Amino acid sequence: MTAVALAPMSMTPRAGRANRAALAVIGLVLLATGVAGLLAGVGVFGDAVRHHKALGQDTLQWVDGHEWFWLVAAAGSALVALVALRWLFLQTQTNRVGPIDLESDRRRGRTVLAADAVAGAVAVEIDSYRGVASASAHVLGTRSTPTLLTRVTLDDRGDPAAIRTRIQTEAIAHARQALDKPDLPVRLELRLAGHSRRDIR
Amino acid sequence: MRLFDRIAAVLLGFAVLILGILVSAEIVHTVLLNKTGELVLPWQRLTRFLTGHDWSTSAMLTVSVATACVGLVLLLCELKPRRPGLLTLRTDDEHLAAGTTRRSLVNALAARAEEVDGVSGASVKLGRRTATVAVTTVQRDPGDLRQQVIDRLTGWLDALGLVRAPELKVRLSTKEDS
Repeated sequence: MTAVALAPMSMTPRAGRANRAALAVIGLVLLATGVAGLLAGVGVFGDAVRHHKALGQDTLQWVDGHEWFWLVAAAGSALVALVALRWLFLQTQTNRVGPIDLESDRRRGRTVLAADAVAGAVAVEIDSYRGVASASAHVLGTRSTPTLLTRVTLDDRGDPAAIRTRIQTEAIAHARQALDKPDLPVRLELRLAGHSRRDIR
Repeated sequence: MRLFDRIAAVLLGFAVLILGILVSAEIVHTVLLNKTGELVLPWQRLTRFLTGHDWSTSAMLTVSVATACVGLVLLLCELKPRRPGLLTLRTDDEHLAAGTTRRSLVNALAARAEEVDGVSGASVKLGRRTATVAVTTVQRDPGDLRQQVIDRLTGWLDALGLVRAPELKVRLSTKEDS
């Protein structure tokens, strides 16, 4: 049975998952820290803690007497910086596919087709249809299991159902033929013609 | 929400990266090289603030509440279930998944309603299962205009081929009523 809702498809799925997890963890840490400070301030942990300095002399003396603490703190800070760098690097990564091998038997040579070229041709073809305002296409996934993602914005000149059928029978069929993958998974996202501002609950 | 995540990730990523580097540099500068003073971070002022304030002072309580609030907002934003972006369209190709956005469906329904003769304006609210269409007309006697709008939108939705088309509710009001 076909699902009622189509799960969002992102060109940066790893970054999306990492962002959500990292921001949730940062939020949890900030919330826990703030609540702990608040509870200490209102005396939940006792009057001794409530009237204790946020950074007491006992803590400063302990830190002064243990130089290894600073080494661990410096290493920890450097590690946090590296994790942040990795997080930033993830933002630039997409799961777009590079050249796709058309020849499965290496003994017969190697033929590759640039996935971007196929996607570009699909977008140009769909863009030329009457009733289409704009179109974009990308080949995502892996070289062995690529998926064609097509986003099409319609204008008010055409019938959405007829345009969808044309995309399926012409542009998508041509892409499958070019890649020699008759069962190439395709994701078609249509933006229907209409007004620009309406209310969604 | 993905855009919010992306912007927050880039801003926080840069902030944490710079802070991590600076904290390491300050520790090396002060503890390992035994140099006095600060490189960039005002850690001496921060130390004076923390050693000068009890947990019960209003300054510390304010900082705690602000930190907890920012954390709570961030956590709620990330834990909130995200509404699937697309409404599925029927296809006869098992390898083709087609869908349309909720926003574009709302815009299209309103535009189709406004194409009916006698309709001067239309707005649509799309819920999980229903689409409520508020139609206005300048006609004093709209007659079967409401039914015409229902027929127009029902036919258009049928042709569109949503796997589950929203149930239509059409409210008609004359211009004087609105």
